[in-house]
This record gives sequence, structure tokens and C-alpha cells, in this order.
Amino acid sequence: MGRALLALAPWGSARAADTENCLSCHRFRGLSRLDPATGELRLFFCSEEYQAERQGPHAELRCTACHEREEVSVVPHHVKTRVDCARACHISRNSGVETRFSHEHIQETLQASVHAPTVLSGLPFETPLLRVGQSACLYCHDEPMFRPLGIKTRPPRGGEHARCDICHTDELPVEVPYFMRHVTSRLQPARPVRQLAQVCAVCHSDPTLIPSTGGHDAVASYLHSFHGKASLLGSTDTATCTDCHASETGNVHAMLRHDNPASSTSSGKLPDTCRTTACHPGAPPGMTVAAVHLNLDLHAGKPEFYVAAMFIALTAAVMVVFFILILLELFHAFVQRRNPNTRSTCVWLGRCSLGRTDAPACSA
Amino acid sequence: MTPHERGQHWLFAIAFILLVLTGMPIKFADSDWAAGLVSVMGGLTTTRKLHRICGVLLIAMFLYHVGYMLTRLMRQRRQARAAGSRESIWSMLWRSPVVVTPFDVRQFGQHLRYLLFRRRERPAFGEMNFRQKFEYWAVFWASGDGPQRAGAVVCVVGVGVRFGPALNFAFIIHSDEAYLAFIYIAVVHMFSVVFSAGGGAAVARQPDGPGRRRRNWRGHRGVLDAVAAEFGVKADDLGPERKRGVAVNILRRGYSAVLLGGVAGSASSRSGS
Repeated sequence: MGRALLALAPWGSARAADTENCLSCHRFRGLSRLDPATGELRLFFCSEEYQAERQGPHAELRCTACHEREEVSVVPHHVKTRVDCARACHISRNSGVETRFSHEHIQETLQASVHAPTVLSGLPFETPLLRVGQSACLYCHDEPMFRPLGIKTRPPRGGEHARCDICHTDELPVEVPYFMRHVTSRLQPARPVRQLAQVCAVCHSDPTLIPSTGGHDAVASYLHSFHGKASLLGSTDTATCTDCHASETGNVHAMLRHDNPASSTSSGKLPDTCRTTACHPGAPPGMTVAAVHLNLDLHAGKPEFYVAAMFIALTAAVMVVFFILILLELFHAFVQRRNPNTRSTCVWLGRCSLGRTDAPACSA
Repeated sequence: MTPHERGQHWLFAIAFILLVLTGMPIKFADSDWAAGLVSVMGGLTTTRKLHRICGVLLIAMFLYHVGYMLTRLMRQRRQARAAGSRESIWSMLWRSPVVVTPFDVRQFGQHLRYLLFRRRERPAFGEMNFRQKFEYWAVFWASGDGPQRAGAVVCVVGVGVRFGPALNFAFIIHSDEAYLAFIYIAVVHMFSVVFSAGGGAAVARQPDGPGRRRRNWRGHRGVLDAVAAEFGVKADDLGPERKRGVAVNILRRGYSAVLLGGVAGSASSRSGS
């Protein structure tokens, strides 16, 4: 039975999602075009394996499910319309039955959040991050790819599904391998801790956007916090941006401003956000006063800034004084080398510092 | 220094070096070397535990040293009483070699004038010169600061005291103060010990110690004068100078290489960035 199942499995077999034959050109690495308007070289490569091995959820879609057919049916393509991820699409299953799917509800959630598409599209980027036709979702997301679980695995003897046959005597649904990868991918964070901070930094560390995104570099202050330092030093279980800023349900698309009482980072809810069983269970509410985003800018005028500035001044003062002493000591030693039996002051002056003319050589 | 005091110094030194090795990667977590060093030490969890253990050791050493100094003072007082002296304990404390007096400020000025070739001789420093006293009290302050930090952290992690804002300040003070202590010890203290005249108080009570007379002579002339006066001779008559020991030479050259390597590395990384 298992072997029959394997024969039906989509593993390694080309799928019928590319019915429009787009990969006949776009599978070639280096396929590119010089944009006459901007002079930029634009690449249009799409991995053939992505479709053939169904390496991500979008492998089950036709290209025109997202891109306008009228715009891509001409060569060269004249893409003008931005991809709308909220548009309903049809997923092509192995069984041949097409399933309707849409990210529309995510769009609705986003619309009520601090990252509403209308807000994102109004951000004054110095250099636009997105090209013509690219979806605004790409501010945060990449093309989704399934990721294997982060543990070392080896292919089981007898094929990938031999272990399934031990218990499952009936035929397994043919989509099991696909959904297995889909689910295991979702069991882990979409991005490692540091990569997630980099995604947020695109806007929250951009100097031109900082005035409209909270007034200070939020990612820099995170990286200087306990959590940020842990992430930089390789910790994978430290708190990321979404751990605190996502709502109680963990929906990152529903982030709210911290001054919104419903936000997980509002003053009323922040203690509970920190004190979840996964983070700091049983911690006193007062711990939330310890700033994760400690803004040490002069303009913020916080007392912490003056303490930090005082220590910098103290360090500079101490080191400058003692550096000068060290240099002078070294200079004395250098001078004395010229005449080890005479005091360095006399060597430097070229005469006896006491004014004697008949004195014997004095000891250093 | 007595062997007991040297033992205290080396325990302090070991705790300090381990604290630097485990703490600096956390302070400079965004540096390239930090993650590698943490990885070598067994990961972030191990590094943090080691840092705390060494912190506890440093605090314990601090408390032990305070007890030791008080015991020493009381013993001196008993001996003075037995000898018939009526000197008060405050007077004895004032005469302690670690106490900073206006005389140290004066000697600092004299030393500066000597270094600027405005004075013929170094001041006759006693058992501890102004720099050694500064180092002593800096370490005293730094290690005594530990309980304060630990207390702030304990308050936050579960005792229940609403003491959150203290963590912000403890974080800044602990980090910056540790950095100051590190660069001071690595640059100034090491220079004093390896290069400078009168490098360590450790040698001050051994005026005839092997290979150290020249440094004692220049750095702790006050002690030698006192010893010479006790025996009714001139300090200049205490004998010929001896050559520096092999170990001191190796240490000087090794420290020079490390210092120059550090400066060159820092310069190249700056030019690279």
C-alpha cells in the first residue's frame, strides 16, 4: 500500500500549477531586463523546484492567480498593477479539485492594526522599497517557503512513508507529505530572532521614518536590551518583537499602538504580556517599568541618559588623565636611556637641575 | 603585601578576569567576536551562570576583605595598647596606607611637575602612592557595587518588590562601570605593574627583594627612607642596583606586544569599517 501511495505522492514530480508555462522562461537564472525608465537591471528568476517539489504554499497556484493575466501575457510584460494578496485564488489540489482561498480576512485584520496598508503606503521612504507591481505584504514577508523542523533527520529505511505503513493499513490521503511539511513549517517561527528584528528595522530603524514610527530607533533599543543582546549572542528562545507586540492570540497582523488600551504593550496589559508562562511567570508587575526600548537620546531627556553620560564622562576623564601620566612616564624612561646614570630631568635640561657645575654624576 | 594579601589579590584577579570574559561579550553583543567567545564558553546560558558565580565570588571577596581590614586594624590597636600607646582608632585608621590624605594630592602635583621636568626628583612615595590608592578604592567601589546590582535583579525576578526603574539604572551603571574598570586595569594598572616605577604595593615592604630594588627605589622612596632611618644609614647607601629579573622582562615585552597588537587591531578594524 505504501509504495502505491508513494507513486501517487507529489514528491519530486512536476505539478500542473504552471499550466501557463511561465517557467519555460523564468526558470533560467539570470533572466533579466534593463528597465529603460530607471536604468536598473531587474531579475525575474523563479525556481523550478519551488513548483515541482511544492516547496511553499504558493506552489499550488498559477502565476496569474496573483499577476494580472493581461499584463503578463505580452512580452516583455508590462506590469502596472500591484499584486493584491487579498484577492481570492484557486488552489490546485492533486485530486484535480480546485479549492478557493483568500487572505482577505488578514487584510481586514491589518486594516484595524497599526500596520494598516493605508498607513504603510503613506510612509515617506527615501528610496521606495517595493517595485511596481509588488505587494505591500513584501514589506514584512518573503515568498513563503516550507522549512523542515530544526532537528537533524535522516531518511527512514524503506522510504519516507515506511513508518506510516506500520500503523496505517488503509491508504493515507495523498496530500499527507505536503501537509506534513506545511504544518511542521508552521510549528516554528517564520523567521529566526535576528532576522525578524531586521525585518522590523526596515521601517523602525529608518531615519526618515523614525518620526512617524515612534520617535526613536526601536530596533536599536531592542538590541541593547536583555532580549536583544541574547538574540545577538545566539539565543533562539528569547523574546522577539512579535512576542510582545502581537496580540494575545499571537496574530502578528493585529498589532496595535502601545497607547491603545487593547494593545498587548499598553500599560494596562504589558504586565500580563511579560508574565506569560513562556516568559516571566510570577514576575511582579513592576518589572515592566524596566524599559526594553530604553531611549538614551539627549532629546528624550530621560534620567537614564544623564547617568549614562556621566559614566562616559567619568571614563573619559579617568583615562585621559592616566594616559597622559603613562605617556609622560614613558617619555621619562626614553630620556633616561640616553644617560642611565643621570636623572632624567638633568638629561632633558642638558645641565644639572640644581645648577651645580662641579657636581659628580648623580644617581638616577 | 603579606602572602595572605597576595592571595586575596589573586582571587580578586581571577574573579575579575572571568567576569570580564563573561561580561564583555554581553556588553558588546553586537561585535563580531562576542558570539564566538560566548560559544567557546558553552553558550549564553553557561556564560551568564559563570558571570553570576564570579560576581558572587567577587562580593564574597569584598566582604572578606572588609572583615580582614577591620581585623587588622583591631589587632594593631591591641598591639598599640599593649605597648602603652593611647592612640585612638581613628588616628590609626588615618595612618593606614590606603587612606587618601591631602598629602596624596600634594604628591600628585609634585609627580606631575617631575614628569614635566619641572622637578628634579620623584616625590618620596610611601607604601602606596596616589595611583595605587586610586586603584584600591576603585576596586573597592566596583566590587561593593555588586550587591546593589544583584539586589535590583532579585527584586525584579520574583521577590515582589515594585522596583522596576532601578533595573534601568543598574543596567547602565553595572555595564559602564565594569567597562571603566576593565580598561583601567588592562591599561593603567598593567602599565603600573609592568613598566612604571613603584609598580606595586606588593614590593614596598620588601626593600631588598630580588630584582625589585630599582623600582622600589624610585616608586617607594619614602618607605626606603624610613627603613634606612631606622637602621641609621642613608637610603642611598643601601647597595648597588640590581638588574631586572627575567620574568619581569618577559612580562614587559609580552604586555607591549599585546598593547601594540590591540592598538593596531583597533586601528585596522576602524579603517576597515
